[in-house]
Amino acid sequence: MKQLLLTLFVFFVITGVVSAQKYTISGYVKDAATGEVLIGASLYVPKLKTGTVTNAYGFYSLTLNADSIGLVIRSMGYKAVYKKIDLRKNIELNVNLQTLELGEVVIVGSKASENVEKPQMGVIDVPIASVKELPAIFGEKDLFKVLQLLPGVQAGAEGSAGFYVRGGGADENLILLDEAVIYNPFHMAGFFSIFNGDAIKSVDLYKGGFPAQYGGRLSSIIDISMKDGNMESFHGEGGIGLISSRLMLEGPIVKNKASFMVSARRTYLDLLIKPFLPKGTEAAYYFYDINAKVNYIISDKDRVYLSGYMGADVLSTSLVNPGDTTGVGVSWGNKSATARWNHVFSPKLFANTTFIYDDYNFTINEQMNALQAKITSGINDVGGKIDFDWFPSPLNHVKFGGIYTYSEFIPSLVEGQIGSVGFTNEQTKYVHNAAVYINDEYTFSEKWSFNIGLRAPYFGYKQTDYFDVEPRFTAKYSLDKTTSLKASYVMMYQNIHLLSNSSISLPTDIWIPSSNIVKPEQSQQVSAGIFKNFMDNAFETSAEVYYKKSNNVIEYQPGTDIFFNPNIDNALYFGQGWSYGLELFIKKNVGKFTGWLGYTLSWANLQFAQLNNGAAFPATYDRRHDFSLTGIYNFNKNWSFSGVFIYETGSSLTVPLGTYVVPGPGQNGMVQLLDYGSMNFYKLPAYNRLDIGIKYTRQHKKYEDEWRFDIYNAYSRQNPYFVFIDPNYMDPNANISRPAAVQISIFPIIPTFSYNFKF
Amino acid sequence: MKKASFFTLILFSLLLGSCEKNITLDIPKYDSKVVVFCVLLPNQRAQLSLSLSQSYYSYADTDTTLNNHFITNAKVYITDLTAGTTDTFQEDTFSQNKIYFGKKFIATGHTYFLHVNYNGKILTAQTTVPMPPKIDHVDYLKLDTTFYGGPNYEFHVYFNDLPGGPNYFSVDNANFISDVGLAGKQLEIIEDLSLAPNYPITVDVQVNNANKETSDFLSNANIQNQNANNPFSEPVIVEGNINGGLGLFGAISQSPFFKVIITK
Repeated sequence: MKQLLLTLFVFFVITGVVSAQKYTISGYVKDAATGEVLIGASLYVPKLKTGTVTNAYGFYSLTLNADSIGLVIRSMGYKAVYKKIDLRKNIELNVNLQTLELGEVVIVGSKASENVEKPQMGVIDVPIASVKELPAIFGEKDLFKVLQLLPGVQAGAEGSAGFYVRGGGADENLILLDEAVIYNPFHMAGFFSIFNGDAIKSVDLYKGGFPAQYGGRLSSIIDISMKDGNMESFHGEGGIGLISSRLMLEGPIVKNKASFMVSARRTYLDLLIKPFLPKGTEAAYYFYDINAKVNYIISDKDRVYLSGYMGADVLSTSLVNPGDTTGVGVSWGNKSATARWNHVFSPKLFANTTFIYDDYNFTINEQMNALQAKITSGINDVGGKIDFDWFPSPLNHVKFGGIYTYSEFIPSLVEGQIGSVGFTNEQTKYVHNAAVYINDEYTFSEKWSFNIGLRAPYFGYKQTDYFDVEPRFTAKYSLDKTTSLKASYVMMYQNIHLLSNSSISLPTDIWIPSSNIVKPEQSQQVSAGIFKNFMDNAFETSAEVYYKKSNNVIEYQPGTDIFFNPNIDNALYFGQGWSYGLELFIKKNVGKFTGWLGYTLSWANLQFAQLNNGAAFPATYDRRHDFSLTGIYNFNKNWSFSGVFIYETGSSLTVPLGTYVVPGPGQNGMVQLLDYGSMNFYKLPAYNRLDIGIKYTRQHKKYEDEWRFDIYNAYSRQNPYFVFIDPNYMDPNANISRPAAVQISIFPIIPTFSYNFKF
Repeated sequence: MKKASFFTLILFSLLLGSCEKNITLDIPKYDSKVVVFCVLLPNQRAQLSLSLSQSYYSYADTDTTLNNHFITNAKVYITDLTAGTTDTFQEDTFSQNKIYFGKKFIATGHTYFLHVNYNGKILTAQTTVPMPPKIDHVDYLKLDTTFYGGPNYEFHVYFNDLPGGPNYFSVDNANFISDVGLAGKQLEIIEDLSLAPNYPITVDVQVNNANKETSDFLSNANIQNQNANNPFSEPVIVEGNINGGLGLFGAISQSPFFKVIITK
């Protein structure tokens, strides 16, 4: 299989190069108003029925026969531009696109028909504008809550921003922010993601058909780019919400040469609850995010970017009584920094070199009279990567490159002392991660095109080395201009693993690397689909089916203390998982009413020799039906309405059904045990919710502001946040204590006012 | 980890407490199952208890009612598949826990087949009695500092792996180590004991060798029991080997006692 793919790949590149022509048009496509480069903008030559799209840095290259041609440049949400070009030499052409007057009314996506035309499937260009338009809990606009509304993406617990993609676990999603890995993208136990929509330029979600430049996780890639900063003029936007406020500023440092963007958000729950705390008690909780980015255009061939993120959750409580001091402080957060250098070697060869630092850290400080303890867990990475975009002919867009990361894993570091006696328990692990890749997007004919790639990851920890090869292949066949069929096969490996003993996202989950005991997790996914646009691309529709098989997936032995276990690798079980399903997607892109409908029918199963008598069982996140409907209606320039409806089958749970006694060891009497039946056999009640929002926008001379009124969970459905078994539940009807399965629901109907502005 | 998760969860629950609402969930009806518990020991007569499980969510006092669920009038016998003999069990009518016992002595290395007939319901299981281990030597170490005070000793029990298997060794019948991948090697079990400071202290150490079904059942039962009062712990399913019911038909062989004398 691997040899066949390699042979095909070489064939495609060679045939593409052989047919390569004389002259090249290259340059950048930018937003005329802000100078931001546009990712995925299309450049199309109608006469030759060929074209290309801009890469992640807005760069494009198109090599054609010497001729007089017309070039159409367009990007969703922008006015298309037509350029007549006499191609008798290499031409450098930078294009600035004007936004449509409707501006934010349009859900900004990529090229209108890209979903049909590109040999790429399982990818969604997440509509950033809708993150700001859709109603949200406490008025906190959240990127990940919008991701959950897309087909193939299952939400975590009630209110949580966590998600599961195509039956994969929560740790199988690679989240990149300006190419830095974000290990814990959540605030407040997963209720909110760390991504402040004001600072985000674009988000691509890959759930299958992964291009070879991505790797390291089994189920999805979420590639997030921060705004570069307005090159033309100074602007800002912000908002005041129920629990937090935020501000983003951007502008030129040197007009059309250098710009900056800085954004900050902070909650004020700590300030709100302070007056209500009992005397002698101190408690505080807040989270914050800071995003910053500067970029500088050195020359037509060189540009550098520096970007960073810093955010944390801070929780502290203390109780001070005479002779008795008890206090706990918990903090967790991410830091990332990325330095990038774009260089155009030639009109056909673009390179980006990146240096990355990221850090995730979780700390508990605890004092209980004479006992002082500090528990730390985290990861930090230092690495570099280089990515090339090579356009040898209009038929080929070749991407190749490599990445190396040196990681320090601290599953748990326990330090402390009792009185004068100290103790420590450190488990730091140092890991090397590297990969090389090559990927060709090859247009074979008007009807057939392919995306073919290979990625070779390496992982090293102590004396353990893993070399693997991941073939990637996607084929597209166009039935007509608005309809295509696609199929893909991908293989992925994952060498870092999250151990979590909770269905909700808590900072106490720990990451561990592969080892001689913990083998790399591996998945293979096949998918196929039909893509059809209607009414001049106003409606996008797709139907995709997929089957994913995963090996070496991890569960830990029940009852294992994962945080304090010095040899956690030996407490793990390794098994297999498989998931399959159907995803339907209908999206309306333009007009007064925009939105989408997503439906997923899916199955997700796991099997471990040591669990459930070796029989397969449904994964916790196995949900048969997942339906979401979102809509935004722009009534006029001042008023708009939005709504979200979600229905999904309840998640799976293991609950005890019966109880029995057996003789205890020795002469210790009888021991009571629980009969759980099968693992995850019980389905929680279905989850459903309706959110609605009204926005009133006012245009002022120098600024624009808006008032929003959102209602989360409009019919106050009691959805489960989590369920636990209470052996001594006091039944209020019978006035008697008995065991019961108790569901905790935390979010009833929540109305929220918020105020936003921009200038 | 669980403490940390619990702690964090409680704090967030407090923060959001004003929104929290508890509701109880409907759980499917539960039909009682016959529970068998029998661990064969070499050179001893087999003892077996039979009881009925009940719904976990019933109103009645679980401890009391479960102890009233022991089964009488069942037909129980085991067949020694190695020797080709059958041993019909008798009911001990005086025992509170309604023990059934056999007449023949259990033999090391023999495979036994259990047959239970209760009100027409047939339960079966099979187990093989493992070989007894032999302790080579025991080292001990006085621990200087502990959370709970002392004297606390750490015992290192050394013994050689046994042929065949896999074997599962334990000192406490709760935490087993497997010899998978360690065939023929010298093995070590570390056990902490808090002892009364009456020197010289005499400790009799014994290593047990269980087969897989016995090791799985006892270790999972121990973990489930330890987490019984933690509502946030992951469920631990105790898997037995009884066809048609719950429980264990297992076997353990014990080493001779190894005497350790600790002087001050």
